[in-house]
Amino acid sequence: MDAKLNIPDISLLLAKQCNISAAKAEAFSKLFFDIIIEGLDKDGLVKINGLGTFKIIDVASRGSVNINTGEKIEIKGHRKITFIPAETLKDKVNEAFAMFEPVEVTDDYTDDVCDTNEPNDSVADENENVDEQTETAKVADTQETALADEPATQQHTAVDAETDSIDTVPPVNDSNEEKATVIAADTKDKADTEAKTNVVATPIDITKEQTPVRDDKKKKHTVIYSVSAVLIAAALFLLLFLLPKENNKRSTENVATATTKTVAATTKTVVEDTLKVQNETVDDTKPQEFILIDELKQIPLSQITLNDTLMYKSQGDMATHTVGVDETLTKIALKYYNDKKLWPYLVKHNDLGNHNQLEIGMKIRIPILIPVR
Amino acid sequence: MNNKEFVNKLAQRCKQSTTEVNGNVEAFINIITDRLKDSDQINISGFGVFDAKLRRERLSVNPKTGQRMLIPPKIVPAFRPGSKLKDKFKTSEE
Repeated sequence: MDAKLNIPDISLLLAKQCNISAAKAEAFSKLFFDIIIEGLDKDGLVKINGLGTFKIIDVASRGSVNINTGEKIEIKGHRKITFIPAETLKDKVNEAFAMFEPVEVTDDYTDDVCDTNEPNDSVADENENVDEQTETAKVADTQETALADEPATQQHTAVDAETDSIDTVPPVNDSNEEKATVIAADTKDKADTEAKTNVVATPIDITKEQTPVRDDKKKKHTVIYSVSAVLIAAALFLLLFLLPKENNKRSTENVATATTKTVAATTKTVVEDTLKVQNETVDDTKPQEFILIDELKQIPLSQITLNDTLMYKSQGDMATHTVGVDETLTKIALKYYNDKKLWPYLVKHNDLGNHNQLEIGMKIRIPILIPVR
Repeated sequence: MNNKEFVNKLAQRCKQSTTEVNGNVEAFINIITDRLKDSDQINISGFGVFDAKLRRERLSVNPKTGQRMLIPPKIVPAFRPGSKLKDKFKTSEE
């Protein structure tokens, strides 16, 4: 490899291959090139099979510039030797790269793909959000199990009570009453506080039942999701502040959480306490949210805030909207659901082919969104 | 001068039969080819240098159609005449 050979080296190889003496081989190779030179001298062309063609060609005179002085000079016409390798030689030397062939480069890249993908992306977003939700449930669940020493029986009763309360029409009061009774019965006993955390945690179990399928996929990202879970919990808590109707109920619950917090502070470490607070912030919001969705048909719809972190299925029409000037699907979604991120459901429900082109006067059916359980 | 003339002249000089010389020439060319394949450089004093050069891949555009082709890399055999030989033919006029 990359060795520099000269006549003696090649002669040795030749001697070995043809079983002739080294001196003879050297004489032969010297003669070989001498005769090439003679042939060039005579004909100006020597053709050797398997090696190639040596040729003398004329080079026309041309002008050039002396790079140092900028002076124009003329390179006189002369003759020079060229070598055109034979095909067999070329092929053999290029054996290493023989498998390559010229490839036509095309750049027919179009943006069509991006356009069609847009609604799917948003749906995927929602799926992700649902996953996050399940993760919050999971985190809360693990915390709950960690906290509870004797949760089995109490949890079951709590679940039953909670599901009942959701099924019946005035459920908020039910759950609150139950909590009130719990608070009433609440002493400094640890067991009781745990029972309460169970009661509060049960709605999350329900959310977990809703979307259990995707759990195993995202187990690796629990750290990321737990962070996002905290963020979502905070967001939901803030949302609650914006609903003036629920203020009274919430205040009682706040009292409840406060009592549990104080009790927990005495019994548990600070870290566990903060975890619990997170738990409770999540838990506070959950029952009310589900009740709201259940009562969707009775309450004026524009006042309900649907959460875009859940997956919904559209069922029936609750209104038909005529598209006005300067309106977009996101604006319509914001008007009816208080969440502009739910616009893909409008597209799905109305089978809008090109959702980027709304026309004024277009009728759009607004579906009733029911969370998928 | 074609291959036949070349071999005949070589046989005449070596005082060997043409078939014998033919075999030798073939073996000699094979050796050169193999050396070039291993990207060795063959330096023949008074004549020139044979070596193998790498041509990198490149994009070529057909100016008529605008079609772009990616030309793959390849190794090509090359010959550079020595200065002695160059000067000999540079000055000689036919």
